[in-house]
Amino acid sequence: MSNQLINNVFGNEISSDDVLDLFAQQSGWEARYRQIILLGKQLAALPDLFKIEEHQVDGCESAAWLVARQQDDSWQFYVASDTRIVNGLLAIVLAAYNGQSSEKIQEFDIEEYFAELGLTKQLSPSRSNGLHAVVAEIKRLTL
Amino acid sequence: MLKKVTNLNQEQNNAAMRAQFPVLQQQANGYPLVYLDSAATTQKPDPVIEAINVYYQQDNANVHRAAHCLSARATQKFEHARDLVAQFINAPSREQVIWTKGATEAINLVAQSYGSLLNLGDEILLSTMEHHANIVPWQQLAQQRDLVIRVIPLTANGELDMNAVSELLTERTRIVAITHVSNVLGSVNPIAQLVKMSHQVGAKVLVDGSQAVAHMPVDVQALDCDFYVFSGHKMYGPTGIGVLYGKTELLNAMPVWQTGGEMIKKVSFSGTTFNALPFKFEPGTPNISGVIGLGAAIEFLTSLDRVAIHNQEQVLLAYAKQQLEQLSEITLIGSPQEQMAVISFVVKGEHHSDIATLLDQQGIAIRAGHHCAMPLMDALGLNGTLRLSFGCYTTKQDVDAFITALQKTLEFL
Repeated sequence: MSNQLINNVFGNEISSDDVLDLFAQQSGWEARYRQIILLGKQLAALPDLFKIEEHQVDGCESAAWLVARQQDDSWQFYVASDTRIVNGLLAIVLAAYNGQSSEKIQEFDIEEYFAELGLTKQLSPSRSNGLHAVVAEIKRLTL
Repeated sequence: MLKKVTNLNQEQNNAAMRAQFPVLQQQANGYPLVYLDSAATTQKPDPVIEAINVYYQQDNANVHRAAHCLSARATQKFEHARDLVAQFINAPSREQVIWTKGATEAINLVAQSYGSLLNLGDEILLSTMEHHANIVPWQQLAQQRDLVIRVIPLTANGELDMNAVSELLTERTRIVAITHVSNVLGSVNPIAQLVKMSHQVGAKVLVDGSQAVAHMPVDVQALDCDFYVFSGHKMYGPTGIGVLYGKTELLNAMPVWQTGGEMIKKVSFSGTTFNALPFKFEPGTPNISGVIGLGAAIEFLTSLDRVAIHNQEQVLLAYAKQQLEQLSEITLIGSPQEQMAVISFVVKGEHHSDIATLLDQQGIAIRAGHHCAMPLMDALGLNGTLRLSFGCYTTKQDVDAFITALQKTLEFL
């Protein structure tokens, strides 16, 4: 595995609107979760050397890692989780945040976005999968 | 023919039992809710909910204080619940039943109060299968007082390694803190034997009964344990209430822990004298509705045919294990000889979190993760398990629905 961070297609080629369009066509949990898992498979692999405590975001059920880089005015985020569904959900988050400025990230209504996707529960703080913590960390970094 | 009739009665009994639990009468994500997470918290039956409502609607007053009739009623119910707990665990006297927020607070109380009597180099013996609540308070104490923590390892099938116990118990062992039933593996520990061995070296024994009290009779005198702790919410009672039972001479010798009102006899700026047991350890206005709710939960439990409930849980346990074993992707974790209402398993090549999320989509509530037992996960070489756990309301239909949803999930992934 390369030691280089590779930019994700999410947010760079696949926008949050693309994700919304994609999910508008899916009905039922099976179709939605199949789509989530497929998106997760398209995440760029996070090199192992970045999977250190400094980048780890706590989840009770599963672990996730977040690496952030800011170039000029725009952010790129690199993520990994050890679960398929969280990877997919992280891809959905990055579709909204990658390539954006701090201001745009702060303005973006992530709750509304997840609500439209029918995935509100996945983003709630009570979920122990680390997704909420990743979003909170991104918002903190871009404050 | 006879068998058929018995089955029919069983189904009627199950239906009548489930009807007492309002939470179970709902859909989750469009499917009938299948609740298999009773080891985390049990659902509450109508009589418990009703007792709490009645207290707030008719009897709300502070206890032990006022002369008025509301306070008298509240106090009577509050102290009656203490009698119920004493009977429930066969405590020699009601004064040995101390209310806490839960098992966690009860362990912290013993660790900080009894623990303050321990000295440099004294040893605390725990086990690999302990819940964090029965590890961290002792670690904190060990740091404060330079004590040594030793840990009983497990055998390959997930039981305490009793051969190791005799080596780990030394004349320096002051306290052995051990769970009655593992919250991950369901293993039932040989407490009476452990107590006997511990007493031979002069060590005291604290038993975490959180996973035991709802599923098996507990007799603290027969166990001869020095402390026994449990939480109300894992035995059909409310959250925020628990019990510390202790032997009278130990509780009397222990210094007060948290202090304030209620637990004093006389206060002046030159000094304070403390109340007798149990009030010595109950500062401040207690969780009155919680205590009354717990009393109702014990009345509910004792009204059941507990042998029948135990047998039903054991039949379901065996059935669920047998069904799981038929799925090639599944590995059961632990195979203790005596197992109580809890099954842990892992799925080959899949993360427990993904399985739990997809089961949730199908209305199945089970637990995924380390179950507050990270040292056990380390010992097992796992980063987590899936856990299903039963209560008196769990039915074969629940297990069948779970297995069907699990199969669908495995095909899906």
